[in-house]
Amino acid sequence: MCHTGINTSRLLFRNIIMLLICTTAAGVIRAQNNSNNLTLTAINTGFTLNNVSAIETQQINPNAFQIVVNSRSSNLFSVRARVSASTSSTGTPFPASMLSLRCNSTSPPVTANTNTITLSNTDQLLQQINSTKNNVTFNYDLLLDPVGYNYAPGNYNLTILFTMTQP
Amino acid sequence: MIMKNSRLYIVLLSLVSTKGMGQSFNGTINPVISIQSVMAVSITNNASSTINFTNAQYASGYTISNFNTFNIKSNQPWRLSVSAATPNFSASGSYASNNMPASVIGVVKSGQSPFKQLSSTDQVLATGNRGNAGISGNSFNMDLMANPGYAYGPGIYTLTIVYTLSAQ
Repeated sequence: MCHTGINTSRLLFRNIIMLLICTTAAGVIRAQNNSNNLTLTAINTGFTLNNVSAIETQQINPNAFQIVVNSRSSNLFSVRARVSASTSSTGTPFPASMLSLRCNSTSPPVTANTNTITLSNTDQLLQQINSTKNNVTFNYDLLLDPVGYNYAPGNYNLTILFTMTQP
Repeated sequence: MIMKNSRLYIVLLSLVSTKGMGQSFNGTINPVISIQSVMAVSITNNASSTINFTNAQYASGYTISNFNTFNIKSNQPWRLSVSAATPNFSASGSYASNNMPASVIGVVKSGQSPFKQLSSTDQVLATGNRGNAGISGNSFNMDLMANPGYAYGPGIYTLTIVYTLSAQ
């Protein structure tokens, strides 16, 4: 009886120690997660179309927003984007494909994709970066295709969702 | 028993560790596109705006088909109105009458009737739907008729015609 009681105490003690180790390990990993993040800063993401030229030609907001990526757990990361919501005051939502994104610069300089990427409702790959720099700012232009005369006057609201993934 | 516990902890640690791999991080921006009312009309003169009357034209009036061509672009349903800038023509010449009214001029969208006699009050010349000049009804011609009869003296008469494009 006495022998079994000692074993139970040892087992309990061992369990507590192992749980502490697991908790500490999880805490370390969580801290590492905190140093990996994606931050979006909108600078000039709105468009006002109030004349014939604005309606009929492509509109470009240079440096419309910034994406800041902290990727400390891996040098390899990718950034994707999609339109996750589209609503309007007229009841007719804007199609995602009316918007495009174009990276015009990065800080610090890294080899980045500067092609114009047309958005859709599914993820589009913007960047696939392999760099020793673990804190990169991407400056993006926002492009709006010619709207034409088929959309009634009103406000059209879109949400663009950006996702940074690491292998 | 100890081995069993160790396996359990290894599995637990592995599960926790894999949280650090294959992660994704999200952020959003919310562009707003504000489309305001945009309308435009272009007018082409297909004939001279100077009309010289002969005897025959005094008797029955002078009609010019397709006098103007209109091309309309609008992002909302539209109407085009027409009026005279003044109730009467301005007149010059020794025998000219100062009271020739704007109603001497009548206009109508080509293919329709009757002619609308002009006044200083807006009258609807045509209506149409949202779209550019390529859609049906947004590009059309207008006929013009001038019929002063014999009630006014010889002279040079001038009238300004005003076209107004507005939302329905």
